[in-house]
Amino acid sequence: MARARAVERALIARALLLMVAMVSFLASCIESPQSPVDYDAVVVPQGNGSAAIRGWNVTLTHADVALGPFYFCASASGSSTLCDAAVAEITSVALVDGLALGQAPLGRVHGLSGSVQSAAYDFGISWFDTQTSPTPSPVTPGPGHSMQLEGQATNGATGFSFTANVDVVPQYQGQNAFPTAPAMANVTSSAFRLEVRFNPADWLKQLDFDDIANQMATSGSSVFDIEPGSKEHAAILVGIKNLAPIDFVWVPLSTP
Amino acid sequence: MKRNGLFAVAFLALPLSLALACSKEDKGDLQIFVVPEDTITQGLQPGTDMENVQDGWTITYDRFLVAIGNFRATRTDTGASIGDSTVHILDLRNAPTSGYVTNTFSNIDAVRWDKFGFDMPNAKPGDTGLSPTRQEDVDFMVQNGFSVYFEGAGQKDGKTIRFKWGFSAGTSFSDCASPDGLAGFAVPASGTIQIKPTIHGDHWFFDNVTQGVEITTRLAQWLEICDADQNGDLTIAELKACDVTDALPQPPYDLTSVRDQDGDGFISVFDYVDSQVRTIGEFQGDGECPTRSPVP
Repeated sequence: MARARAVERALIARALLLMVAMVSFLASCIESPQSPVDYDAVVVPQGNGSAAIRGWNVTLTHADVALGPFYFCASASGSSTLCDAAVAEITSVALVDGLALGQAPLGRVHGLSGSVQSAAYDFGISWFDTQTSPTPSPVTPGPGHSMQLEGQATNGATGFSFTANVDVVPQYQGQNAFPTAPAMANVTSSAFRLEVRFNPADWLKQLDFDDIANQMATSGSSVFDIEPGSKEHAAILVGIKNLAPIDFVWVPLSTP
Repeated sequence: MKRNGLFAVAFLALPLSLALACSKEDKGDLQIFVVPEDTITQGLQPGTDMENVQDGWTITYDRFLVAIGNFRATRTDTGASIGDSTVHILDLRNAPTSGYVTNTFSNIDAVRWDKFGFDMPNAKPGDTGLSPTRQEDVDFMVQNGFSVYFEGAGQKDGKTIRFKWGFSAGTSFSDCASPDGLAGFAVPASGTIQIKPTIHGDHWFFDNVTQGVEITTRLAQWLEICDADQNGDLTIAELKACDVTDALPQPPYDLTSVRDQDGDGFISVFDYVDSQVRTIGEFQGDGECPTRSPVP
């Protein structure tokens, strides 16, 4: 009887071993699960608000910028047609001072651990599948604009002030205003901080200030106002999207 | 004892059979055909359909040369890979009906090879042509170091704008997937899979740099806007001097992903066209190769 029990125990042990072996073998075919992560995002304005642009010294005195929402993807393209589900996101929109010295809060990044290879985002004006037209967030400056800029441009004895109401609008429904942008990180835990870096003065680099000065000389006005639909507005969009796009930097938090 | 022996056999056999189930593979063949999109051989027509040029222009190509090669495939599950670093110069305007057969890989694992890619590098000495590509076309591409060269014309309302543009826009295209999103290709057991890297000829007439599904509108008015001297020949120099804020206004355009390709600190229509040239390598028709990076 005792021997029979010993044999039974041995059989059970071997069955358990067999199960463990099978499970471990199958587990080797399955990727490691991702874990939830949650960490701060901050904006870090770059530069001092000034830029030298083809002979003109341009200084921003005011830069209210609506940022978000942001979606981060594991795929090389953040486009909604290639990235069905974000690996992490900031779903809120924040109004930030683009000329602030130092960091300012942007929101919380919620998502999963793992690799990030791209981003898609808006400047406060989104066009979700559920919306019939591009829709500004209530926090946008104006309200209703992606950003409002003010500044001065000088070239020798010539100088003038300018303002800009800028709308960065998604081109198609279901897409972001910035459908895809580089963003590289391997987020292993919540011990990270996302820094969103940009230099608003560099967004003016495609503007033709000589042409603006000529227009002002003709019109006799003292302030040049840039509004959506104008050539100058399109030039600022080129600065935002092509010449000085946002940089995304994930900074590991040091262990306390 | 007998039961113990049976258990021992089962203990060894089950994982082994599982392992064999994962590793047992038949063999098959792979053929690679490089094919031009119809826009290269037949041009683009004006009209209101999605594939038409919406602002009334007709586009035709007389010559369309590309450097293409370094076809490669990898299995993520095992890391096994196949490839051929050869680069060919191909005349896509006069491509054979079924395209150019650039490579045949025989007796390879009959499984899904989930990573497929290829390069369109800048042409270099040693690159070879495939018939009916003429040797003078091969020499022309190599001498200029072009990855893509095309000649053609846009026509609208009796006006003709001719263009002859070469680009050293070497690009690798990776992670190719068929239009239904299936990554790579599957080799059938004892059979042959034919795959078709497909070169598109209309991306510089898009109103954005598409990512994934081509949600776009085709427009060509910029041909006339950029022809500054209005002589009917639109040169590379004119493209470089052509401000996108005049020729490609946002909206309707969205210039996200256009790079300052010539490094002059200014985004011109040349930068737009050059950026689009770096996106024309696709897969199985309209399937995307979303991972693109520069290659010399």
